[in-house]
Amino acid sequence: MNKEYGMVIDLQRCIGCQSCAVACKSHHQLRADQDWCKIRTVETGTFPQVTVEFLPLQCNQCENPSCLAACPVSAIVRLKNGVVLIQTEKCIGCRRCVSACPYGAIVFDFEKHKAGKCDFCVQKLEAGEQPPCVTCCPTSCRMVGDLHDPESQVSQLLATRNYRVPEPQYGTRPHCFYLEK
Amino acid sequence: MKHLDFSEIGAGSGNPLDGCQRISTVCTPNCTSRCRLIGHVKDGKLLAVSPGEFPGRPDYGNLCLRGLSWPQRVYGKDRVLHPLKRIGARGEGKFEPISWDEAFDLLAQKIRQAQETHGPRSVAFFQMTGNLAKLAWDSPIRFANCVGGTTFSAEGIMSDHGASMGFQLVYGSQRASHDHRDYKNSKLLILWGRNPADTHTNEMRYILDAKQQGTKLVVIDPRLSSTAALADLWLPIRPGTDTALALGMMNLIISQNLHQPQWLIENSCAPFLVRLDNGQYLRRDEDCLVWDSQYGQAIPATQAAQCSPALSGQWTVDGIPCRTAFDCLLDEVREYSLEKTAQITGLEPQVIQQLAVEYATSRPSAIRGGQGMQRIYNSHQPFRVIATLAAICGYVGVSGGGASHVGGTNTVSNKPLPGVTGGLLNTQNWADYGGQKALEQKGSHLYEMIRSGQPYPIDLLWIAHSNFLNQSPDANQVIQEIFPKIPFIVCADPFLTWTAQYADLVLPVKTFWERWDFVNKAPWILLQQPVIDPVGESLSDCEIFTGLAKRLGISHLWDKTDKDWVREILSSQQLVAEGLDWDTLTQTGIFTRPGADFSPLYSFKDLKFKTPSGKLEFYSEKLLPFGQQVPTYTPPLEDPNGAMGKQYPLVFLQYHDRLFVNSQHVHAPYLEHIASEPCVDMNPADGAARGIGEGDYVRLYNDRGHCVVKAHLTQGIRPGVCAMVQGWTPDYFREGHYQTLTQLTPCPAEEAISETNFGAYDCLVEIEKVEESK
Repeated sequence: MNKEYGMVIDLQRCIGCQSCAVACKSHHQLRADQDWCKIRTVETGTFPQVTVEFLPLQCNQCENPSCLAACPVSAIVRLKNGVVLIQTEKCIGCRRCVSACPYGAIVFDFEKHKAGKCDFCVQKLEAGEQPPCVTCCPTSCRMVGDLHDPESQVSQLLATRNYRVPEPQYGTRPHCFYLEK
Repeated sequence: MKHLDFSEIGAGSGNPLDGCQRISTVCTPNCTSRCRLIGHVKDGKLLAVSPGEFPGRPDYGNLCLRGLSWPQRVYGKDRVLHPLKRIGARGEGKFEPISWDEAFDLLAQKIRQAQETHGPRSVAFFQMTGNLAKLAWDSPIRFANCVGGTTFSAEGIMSDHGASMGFQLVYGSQRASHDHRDYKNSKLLILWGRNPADTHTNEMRYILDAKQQGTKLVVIDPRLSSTAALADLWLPIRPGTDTALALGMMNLIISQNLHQPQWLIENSCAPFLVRLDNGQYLRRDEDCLVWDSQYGQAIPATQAAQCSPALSGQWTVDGIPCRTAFDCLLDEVREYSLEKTAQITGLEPQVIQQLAVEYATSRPSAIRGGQGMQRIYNSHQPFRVIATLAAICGYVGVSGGGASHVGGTNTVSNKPLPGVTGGLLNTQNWADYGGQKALEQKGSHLYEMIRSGQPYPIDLLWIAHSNFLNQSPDANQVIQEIFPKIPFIVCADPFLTWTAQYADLVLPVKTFWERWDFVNKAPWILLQQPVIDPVGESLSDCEIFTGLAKRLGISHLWDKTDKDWVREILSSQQLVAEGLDWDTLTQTGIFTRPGADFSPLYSFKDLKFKTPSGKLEFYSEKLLPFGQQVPTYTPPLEDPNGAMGKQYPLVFLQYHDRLFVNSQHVHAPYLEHIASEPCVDMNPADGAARGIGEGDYVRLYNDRGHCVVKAHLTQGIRPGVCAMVQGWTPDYFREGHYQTLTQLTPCPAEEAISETNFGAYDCLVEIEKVEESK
């Protein structure tokens, strides 16, 4: 069976520190405003019954990606390993994918006039390495692994912990999984 | 849908770091973590940073967003590229570049002039914690010693000394540590005024490990900090009232008989007899006495193990009425009924009750103190009281227990080896000052000393590793009254800081990415070597003093390159560097002591304390004149319920956040994207009472100063409290600066112990909306 990559993020361990966001930019030599990866802080409740959740956001490598469907030139592809990729050289900069993604995960580069986003650093994965957002996370709250391999850490965690996917109502079938209590 | 194989596609997001050289170094600003960093360098340029591993501790490598942003910081627009001589007014920011030769000549002339006018002590060196690598941190002090100048202690004016004083009183040592990995042995962990999720990311993983294994996590903080957001229980305490909470908890614990009398008798001053007439310990010869309840007589505490000392009671010994130290503590503790404790701390009575009982019965429970609670007047009390609280429950010296302040790796006291304090590196030449010695003054006395010229004037102030103005109390006072009294100010810094703007001479300093240096983080030694070429004409601190030493005729004391100093100091064959091979070290950047013990350690396992009695001492004769012989709550100096609170009702906290270590890491675009300007956190109730909405510009002010920033309304802060990330520099403010709001007031009790601690969080303000001009 072919590999199918998924990202598992333990919300019980995310401290909202944004190291993943800075690591992503720095290791891809992106500008500060190119948020391929970021953390949203969600505050709910009234003092003193207040909760804050840190929600890491990046491309979910959806099984049914609305960006792919929206691209008029087929610049976006979903690989056999589950990664959704923008083929930059084919991108015409129409920004339909940016509007189509319900997660706001695609970042338009106004300098290069191209769409860009997280692709789980597929190059590194294929070389057996983890992306910088994973290796630079101070609490090891996230990892990428093979969902088809029942022995992989991501599969083990999904088998033993409660989890949710971001905004399932869009029917995109995200491959990012948030571990909950 | 297409399903291509990756090999058919190629690039993806790419990897711009391919082909980079990877060079190991260590991060040395004062967050104290000392993470090993790997710099990715291509064509001589630092592109990115990764976490480096620690041999023997695969769990321990770490990096944070601040460390990740170093490449932007190193090449930042605010780097000082050449020595700069002031040509405008101080603070105006007008300088002309001069050569190092000119700079050294000018410095030598100014130093000689000061020495001749008011003597060698009038040449003073103030340094903070901007770079804690060995040569960098030592060099200004070493040079001060070589010229017989003046130095200043750092901890008081930096607002961190209360913790040291509090623990010194009780434990007899300024630090008490529990390895981070020991948290998992705690049933309950209280992070008291501590926010490691933002400030010490390398500690947080162990806290989360413990929590996920079942440790209940409690955070006491007026703000819902990032750490509090992850806790099982958040106690939004009224700022400055932590001591009252601990006393109230002790009252509940003791009155419900949940304390540990036997532990107290055996290991603390609790059974010591105290004279009713003068509050001193009752002594025979030098020995403190205890009351042997079996034979009804007073005997020396040193023989207590052979008898049955009483914990409570009143007796007359040698005609002197006396009682136990424990009863003296009880008197104070009993003042703190649940109702009174709730009223002072602003916490719900049932929450206090629950915490006290759970702390005493979830055995063992741990307290990890943070500096947040000791940035107040009488700053010694909070750490003193948490150590006492841990003691009455018998948690001191217990795995999974403790009231601790540092964790770090596996060492108990940040020393190379537990119990060994020095002499382990080859510092014979480095510690040779040519027979001269500097005089250390208390940093918290600096303002008064300069203002009064007593005990002697300061004619030249050299500021190193410090954005002094940004981080020291009452910036307006410094600008208007202190700096003008100093004839010549030198600022040595990689960056043109606010402080540098007030200097007469600014010296460009290398960051740690550009120099040879090292950190002794036993059982490791971490090397810093030039990962990149120096930016501009920067020199290291040591190189600057080496250049200056030539002009002053002391070049024989500064006769080596930085690299040769590092090599010489590490050439020790003592345990700490035994078997260290220089060539290997330059390759790997890290040395691991053979046979190193990586097991988690914690303080006071042997239940021996470096106090005068050798026991844990919550009773202090030294503090009798202040009525503080036992841990005592006093309201804040600037009390919202006191007179000043009528005009300025809001407590202002300048909290440590994820973005900065103090003012370091400002101006890095990646971090500016996370927060582009300072804002003041306020509860919506406080906002509504002042007509302030989210994002409105507001003025924070008191009699000392003001600043104008955006308001951020959040339910995650206690009403009556406002808070701002500390470290932001004036260029980010619409007007003013937060450090113009703060005060430095000498505290008699702290002076008796050591020196006053800057009460950075003991500060009242009012906030008003700023109407936008159209």
